[in-house]
Order: sequence, then C-alpha cells, then structure tokens
Amino acid sequence: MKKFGIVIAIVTILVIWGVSKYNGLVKIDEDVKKGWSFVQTQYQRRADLYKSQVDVVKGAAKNEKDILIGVTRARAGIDDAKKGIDNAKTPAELDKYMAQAEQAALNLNIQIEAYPTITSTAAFIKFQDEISGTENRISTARDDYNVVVTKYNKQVRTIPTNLFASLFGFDVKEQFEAKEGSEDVPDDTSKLSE
Amino acid sequence: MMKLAIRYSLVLILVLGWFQLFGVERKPIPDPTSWGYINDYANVLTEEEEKALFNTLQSYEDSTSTQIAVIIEKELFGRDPFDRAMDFARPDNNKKWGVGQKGKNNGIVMYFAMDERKIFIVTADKTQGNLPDGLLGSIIRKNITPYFKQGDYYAGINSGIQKIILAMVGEFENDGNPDGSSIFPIILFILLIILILYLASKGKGGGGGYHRKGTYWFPTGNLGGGGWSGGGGGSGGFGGFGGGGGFNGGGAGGGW
Repeated sequence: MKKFGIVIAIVTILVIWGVSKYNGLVKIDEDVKKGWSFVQTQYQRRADLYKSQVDVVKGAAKNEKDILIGVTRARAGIDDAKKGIDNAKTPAELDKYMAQAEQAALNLNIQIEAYPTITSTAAFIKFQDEISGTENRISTARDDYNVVVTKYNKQVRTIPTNLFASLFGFDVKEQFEAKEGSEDVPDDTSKLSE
Repeated sequence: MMKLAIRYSLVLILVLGWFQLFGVERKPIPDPTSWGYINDYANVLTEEEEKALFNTLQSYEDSTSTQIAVIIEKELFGRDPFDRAMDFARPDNNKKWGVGQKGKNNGIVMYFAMDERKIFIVTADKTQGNLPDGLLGSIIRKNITPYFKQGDYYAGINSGIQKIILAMVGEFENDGNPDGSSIFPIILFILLIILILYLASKGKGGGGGYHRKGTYWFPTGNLGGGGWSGGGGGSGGFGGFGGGGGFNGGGAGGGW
C-alpha cells in the first residue's frame, strides 16, 4: 500500500512536470511563429517595393519601347517570386524566392542605368531609400527570428525535454543563414540613388 | 614545473585571445547624458545649441509623447552606421536607453558619426506611417547633409528635427486614439510608479533633486552648472526615456 502511494506521488510529479514543460514548449513555439510572420511580412513588403519601383520606371519611360519590355518581364518575375514568398515555409525557401525577385528588379535596374532621366527622378530615389530600409528591416527580423529559434531549439534538443518534444511534434527548426557580405547590399543601392 | 607554467600560460593566452575576438565585435553604448534627448559625445555642439535642441525636443514630447534622441559619436568603432544606431535604439543591456513610449512605439533615434561622416536615423514602427524611409532619406539629403557639409552641425540637426516634427503632425496628437484604451492602464501604472518614486525620493531628503528639476523648467541663470553637476542619474528636467520598442529596422541613412 505504501509502495503504491509512492508510485502515485512520483507519477503525479512527473505529470505536473511534463505539463509545465509542454506548456513552455507551446509558448515558445508561438513566439517562433510570431517571429516567422514578422520575417515573412518584411519579405513581402520588399517584393511589393520592387514592384512599385518597376511601376515608377514604367511611368518615367513612356516612350522607350525596350524598357517597357523589361518592365513587363520584371513585373512577371516579381509576381512569380511573390507567390513563392507568400507560401514559403522555411528560411531557405524565403531566401530563394527573394533572390528571384531581387534578380528580376536588378535586371531592369541595369537596363535603365544609362537613363538618368529615370534613375534621378525623386520617385525612383524614394524607392531606393524604401528598399534599403526594408533590407534593414529584414535583417532585423531575421536576427530576432534566429534568437527565438535558438531558444526553441535548445529546449527541444536538450535532455529531458527532447524525450517528449518529438512525441508532440516539436521538431528542431531551421534558422536563417548569416549572409556573407549581406551588409553590402544597402550600400550598393544607396550609391545608385546618389 | 617550467613546462607546466608554459602550458598554462599558453591556455591563458588562447582564452584571452578568444575573448578579445568577441570583445571587438560591439562597443558597449554609453549612458545617456544629462541632456537626455541630446547626447553629444563628440562635443560638436555648444552648450547653447544643446539647450536649444533640448527645449525643442522636450516641448515636442510634452505635446505628443513622441521621443526623438540625437546621438553624436566621434567614431563608429568599426560598426555599420545602421547597426550602431540600432545599438542605441534597441539596447540589450542598458535600461537607461529605450527611446519612445513603451507600447506606443513612437521613438526616433538620430545617429551621427563624425569621423566617418555618416548619418543614420532609425524609427520605431508607429512613426513609420508618417515618416516612411523614403521621406526620411530625402530629409537627410535635403535638410541635414547640406549644413553638415558646411560644418554647421547645429543647423543641420535642427532643420532635420523641424522637418521630422512637421511630417509627424497629427500622428500622436492626442492620447485618445483607437488603441488608447489599451494604453491607458499602462500610463496610469507609469504615473503611479512615478508618484511612488517621487514620494520615496522626497522621503530620503531628495530636496536637491526637486531643485534640479526647477532649474530646468525655468531655464535661466545657473542652468548650465546645475545641469552638468547633476550628472548623478541625469534626472533633472528630462524625465527619462519611455522604454522604447518597435525599432524594426526602419529608417534611412546618408553621409556628408
């Protein structure tokens, strides 16, 4: 009888401990989700800015036929990438589609480099500022996301939480890779705008 | 014995080197000066100029609760201007910073590095509606850098602040905006804490503190001396930063 009481006590303690650990995991998992939505929003914002900038080019280059072809191509590329960004589930996917949108916008920018009448318009320069601002927002949101994912992964991977973390579907989450030379990107765009 | 000593010193050197490696990564940010909004660590402004800017920013906070902080450093210490501005805007370990009211996310940090001739202004998210990066970029190019090129730092900072204030008109005019209901209890709580702190300091014979406050509110006579000597906590006149928040990387930069 005494033995039975001890077993009950141990089981109760284990259950309470397990519930509190589980709740902790749920809470941090929500933080991760929130961080992810922040990151995704900024990526979407950046893709939207590329699109708006393309529209500015379109407005400024009314008579240049080959630029207008480039505009159409850039718009299609960015739209395509945007769909990918909206549905991205991992950091790697986000980066892949963002690179696609960036490339589409860059192709057009290279094409119009020889037209100062377009690149020196106030509207075009304004978008350069907005785009570098968004790059900073993205890197901030990425850093924040990585911090919370590190915390989450630590919990999911350490003994004893790991014993039941995978049982309830809390898997280790992927982080954003620190980009080498990503700091150079805003510099380049600011040079363009000057 | 000698061998052991060599081995230990080698380990010590390695460990120290390791810390050194990480030590250079980020220079800790200094505490805010007693002028609060105006933090001229590079000594490029005269006391009169600091006073004028301080008065502008204080009355601006009084009417809108928006906090604008100016930070002037001699150099960037190897950091990117944006990163250094964010070090102040999102201070990890220094609770004395925290520009903008907590929950309202209405802080703006204007950062200047003299040696590198770099400017970066970062904004908290609730100010970005009126002050998008594009507008901020054009304020830097048109209203700040032309003066800085001539060495008139006061005029550049002042005209930048005026433009920012102009752009922000109507954003935080009254506290009764849609999300005011959720902010009200927080304000009440802060007021209560201020009251408690005030009563506590009075109890501890904080008459001097009250006097310091007085000299700031009536800016005559011994303001300069009183302000500087009151460096213990930098409390006078400037009520401290509001806790900040919302600095999501938005803002714009430039150089002169």
